[in-house]
Amino acid sequence: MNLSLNQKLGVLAFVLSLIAMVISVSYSKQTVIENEITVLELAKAIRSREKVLLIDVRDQESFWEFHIPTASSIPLSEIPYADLETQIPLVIYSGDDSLATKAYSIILNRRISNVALLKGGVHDWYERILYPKIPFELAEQNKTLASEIKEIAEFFGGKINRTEDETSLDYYRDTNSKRIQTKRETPLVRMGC
Amino acid sequence: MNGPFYINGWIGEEASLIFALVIGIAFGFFLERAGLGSAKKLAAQFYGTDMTVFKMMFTAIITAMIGLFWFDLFGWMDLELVYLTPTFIIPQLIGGLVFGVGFIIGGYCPGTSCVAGATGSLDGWMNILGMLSGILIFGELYPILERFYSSTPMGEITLVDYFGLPSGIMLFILVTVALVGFWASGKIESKTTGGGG
Repeated sequence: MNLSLNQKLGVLAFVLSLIAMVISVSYSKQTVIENEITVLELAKAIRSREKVLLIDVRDQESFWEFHIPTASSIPLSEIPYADLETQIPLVIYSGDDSLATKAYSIILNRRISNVALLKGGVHDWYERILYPKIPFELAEQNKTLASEIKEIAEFFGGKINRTEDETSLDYYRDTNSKRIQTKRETPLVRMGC
Repeated sequence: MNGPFYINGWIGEEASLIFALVIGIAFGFFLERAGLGSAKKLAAQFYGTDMTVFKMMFTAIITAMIGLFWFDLFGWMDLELVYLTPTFIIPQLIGGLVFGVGFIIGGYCPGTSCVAGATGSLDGWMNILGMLSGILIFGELYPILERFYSSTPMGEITLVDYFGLPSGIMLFILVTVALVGFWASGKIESKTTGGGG
């Protein structure tokens, strides 16, 4: 069978994509975030003055607009060169998880392993730590959790809001990664004061 | 040494611009050599008499897709770190329509108008002029358009993310679609040119 060059290249593309499909199905390669920390865990760590090097990988402008207390700003573009060799555990965060996942991947490529990613980033911090929503009606098993969250919110200068939604505390219990991402359209501005 | 070179810190900003220049020149050169510096050839795409644009675009897409898949697999290129233009579905649909109308009226897309301009074509230069005025007008109107421009955001999303399929399966589907498309476009060409249409 005489194939033209175009047809030969077409066959090559087909074969390469077929093998790609087989490999993809049998072996999936994704950036696996092995080390995650929730905003509640981070808040407790900061409150009890645990040694944590908290890094905000968003741009400087976003950092100065709003950041988590004790955080240092190292924008994503500077992560490849930044001096991160330290014994202190690193926690990185961004707006949601997207930039931070990239930063996490770069840091792991640099063979630095004591790094964790803050799940939900600064948006979850704002929504769940600084201005959390607590149901009006509290079930017995939620009372301790609710008062803990209230204390933490006040510690960081925030305040709680009451809500009709009785499931609002599920966020703090749900430790698996399947959770609703906070979608923000309004800027992060401190309320009250 | 693995990619993306700039994000991984292998090259600085100046070197990345030199890379961009070399790639840009090569891109323009091959567009010209493929005959895409001619408005007649580009417009013929829309009449179904010459499917070069379709074949060229899809060839570029699947070549890059296959290359990136294998580079990522071998660890030469971390796809997680590649910048993606965020998707804003409705504004981009409208933008695509405006682009298509401009393409068929002017006979060039932005890249090919520059290619045509570089070969001394006057209509190529007219298109470049139109493009630059369009950019200026859009820039001036941006405050009014901004709300629409940033509506229906979907973030940096790919077909793989959207459908939740492994990347290899998506690759296979698109390569198959492209190959079937190449075969079908050959049929369309012979029908429209050979059949006297």
